[in-house]
Amino acid sequence: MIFTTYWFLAFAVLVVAGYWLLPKAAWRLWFLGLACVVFHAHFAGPAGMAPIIVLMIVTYFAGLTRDRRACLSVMALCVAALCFYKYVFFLIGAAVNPWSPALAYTLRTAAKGIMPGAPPLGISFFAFEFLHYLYEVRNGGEPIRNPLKFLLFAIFFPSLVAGPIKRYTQFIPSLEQGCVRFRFDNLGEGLLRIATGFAKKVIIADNLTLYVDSTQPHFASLGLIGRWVVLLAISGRILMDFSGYSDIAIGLARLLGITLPENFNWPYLARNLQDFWQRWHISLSYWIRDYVYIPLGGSRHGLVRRVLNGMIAFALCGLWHGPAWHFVLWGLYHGLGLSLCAGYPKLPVVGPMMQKGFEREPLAAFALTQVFACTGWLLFFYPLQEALQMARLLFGL
Amino acid sequence: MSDPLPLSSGLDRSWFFRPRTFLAGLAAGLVLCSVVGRTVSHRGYHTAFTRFHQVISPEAQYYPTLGEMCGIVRMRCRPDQVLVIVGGNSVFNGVGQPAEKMWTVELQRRLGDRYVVLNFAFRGALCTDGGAVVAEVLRREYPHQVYVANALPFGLPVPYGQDPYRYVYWEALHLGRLEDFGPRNEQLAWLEGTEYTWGQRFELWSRDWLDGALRFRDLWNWVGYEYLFTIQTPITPHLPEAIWARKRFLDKEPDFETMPFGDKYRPGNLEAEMNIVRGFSESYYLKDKRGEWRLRPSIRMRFEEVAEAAFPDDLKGRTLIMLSRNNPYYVKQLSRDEALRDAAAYRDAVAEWRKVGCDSSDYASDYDVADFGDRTHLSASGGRKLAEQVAARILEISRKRGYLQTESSTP
Repeated sequence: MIFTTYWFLAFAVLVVAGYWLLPKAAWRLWFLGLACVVFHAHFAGPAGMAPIIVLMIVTYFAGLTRDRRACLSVMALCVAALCFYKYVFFLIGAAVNPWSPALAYTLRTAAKGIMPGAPPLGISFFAFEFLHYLYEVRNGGEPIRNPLKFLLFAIFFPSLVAGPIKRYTQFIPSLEQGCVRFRFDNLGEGLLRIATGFAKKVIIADNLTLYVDSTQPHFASLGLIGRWVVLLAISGRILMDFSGYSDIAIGLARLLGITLPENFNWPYLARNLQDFWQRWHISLSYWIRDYVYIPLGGSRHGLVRRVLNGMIAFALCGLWHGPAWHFVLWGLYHGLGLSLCAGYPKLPVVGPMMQKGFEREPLAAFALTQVFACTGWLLFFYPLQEALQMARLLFGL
Repeated sequence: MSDPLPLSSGLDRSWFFRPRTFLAGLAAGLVLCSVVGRTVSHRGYHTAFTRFHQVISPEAQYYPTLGEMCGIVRMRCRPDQVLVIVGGNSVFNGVGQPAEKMWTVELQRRLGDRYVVLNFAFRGALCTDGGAVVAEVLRREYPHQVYVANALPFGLPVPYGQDPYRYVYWEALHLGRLEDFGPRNEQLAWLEGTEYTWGQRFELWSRDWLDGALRFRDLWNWVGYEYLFTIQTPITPHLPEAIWARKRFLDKEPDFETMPFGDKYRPGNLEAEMNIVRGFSESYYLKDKRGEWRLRPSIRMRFEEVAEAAFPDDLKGRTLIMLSRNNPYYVKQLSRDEALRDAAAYRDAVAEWRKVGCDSSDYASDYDVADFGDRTHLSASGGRKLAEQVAARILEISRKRGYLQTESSTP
């Protein structure tokens, strides 16, 4: 992980020190831009940088034109790039292989010939941020005219690896205000946030990983309590791991005077699934809501469309995490859960009773939500058959 | 335009979270932690040290630091005593010998209290790992020292050790505690040029430089050893043992001496073990025109090149390399031709080590089957024989180097 390398530590110290030692805000922005390019070049390499640079340039100019068709074309290009670099083998396997294995083989071989060894670093984040930018500009938003500021929005190094997924309408004002004056508060808060992130990642998440890796293979031979402890460890690990990265990113940005969006807000305290998704990976769930669910029609066209839109949005949300079916299933699982959560009060007789029951006993709603969310991690981490077997064992079936 | 995302907020302004308070605490904490790390590593805290047994070794995610090993030496050895550091692999670590029957305990008894024997051998380590680095680092602080390690005939004594123990070498190198030794530098340049990327070298250098300043590894090992370990490992997989202070784990080795014969020698393992025994010489030797076994020139050349770089010149004269022979249970099953080749390998390897300036000998050519616990590890009785042989060699080295005016202790 990039954040836990000494290179990153040294780089961060030098950048923060150099940034604030410069006497003018404009110089700081240029320095920060240079640092972001160095960071990206170091970790992504030329092959990883090239497609991002191309996307960045076309996105910038498409935004400047404010032309709806130009923006739409480049949005399509961003989606195509994401599909190509991250999902090409998955798509070939899913869409071509079932009816023509020979063609699938040919396509895979051809793709391997032109693909870099690994997808460009942070391609999912780049694609989602560019799509957001173009969507907003296409709908009348003001484009970023200053190329340096656009570069900083595109490859701002603290959020480049693991998010949060930024919104340019928040990032640019924060950048412009934050670079003007050094504030001692930002230094203290940033360092505390970074320390919290490292503690979550290194002390808690990495230890839970060791525990899960050593215990999960013997899941079937564990007692019922042992199995639930493993599930709690799996759930705790992903929260600590991912929110730890987010904390480091947010803290580092704060050291530079810049405020990034929150990504987690005590998700395991959520009292229903909607609440959970307002607390878990917030920047992604809001992105999915704003740029997939609502454009599809959201909840405006009746129950069936609402459920269908939710399922599509969450299937894409699952797929965003990686090119594998179990991620899609995890997304659909949550899509279904949210549909049930939103729809059950409308059930005749039972619905209002359940709703009143949950209002009287919020602990029951909390427990049900957490059991649902935590059990879902089995689909996220393991192949379908294994996940189902583990879920069966969890409930003593 | 979509709704804005919730932004990260500032902290609670209670006194505890005031940025200045936090920064002051951070700075004070860093200074305090590094002072504690430095102090404990210098003083030593392994009061009941016997050896780096399994729970205090890298297998159990416990990586003894250079400072920690030097601390053990300082705790145990006075400057007027002769320091004997034992390195090498599991055979010299004493696998199969309980702590009280360990061969180095017998070696200490034979050498007497003018010598201090410390066992810094690790499972799977080379003769250039761990203990060798400590011996070199303490060369001026303890000029009267002997380094003893075991090796396999023509096993390459890579001068910078091998993973997972190479970290000790990097630590000493980056802290500037090693001698500037040309042949080793050449080997190292080759290693760094071929096996490590620029980024990996930067990571190693940064880690050791930062650790040299802050001593976080020393601090963490001390906490883990004295109070609380923080991670589960394959050796300590279950709670609550996983988080116990490592000092709570006793040095528990099985006793090969009391183990039934059938447990040590399983017929199903015979062929695999025989292949290993043959492998000690098989690929290194060719038959000449007279039908005698000769070491392949390329093997000799490569070995000499690496062995020359293994130890700095002033350490070579006080280094004893013992070549580990295999259990006679297996050796006697070699054909006559294979046995001749095996004997040639040990003879030639001893000569090669002596040629580069180290003292060397093989051991166990006259041991019984009962002196072994498996193909290579010694039982306590084998350990006693080894201790006798090594003690005599150490006394000889001490005499030659003038460590002691009069030898009062004799084996």
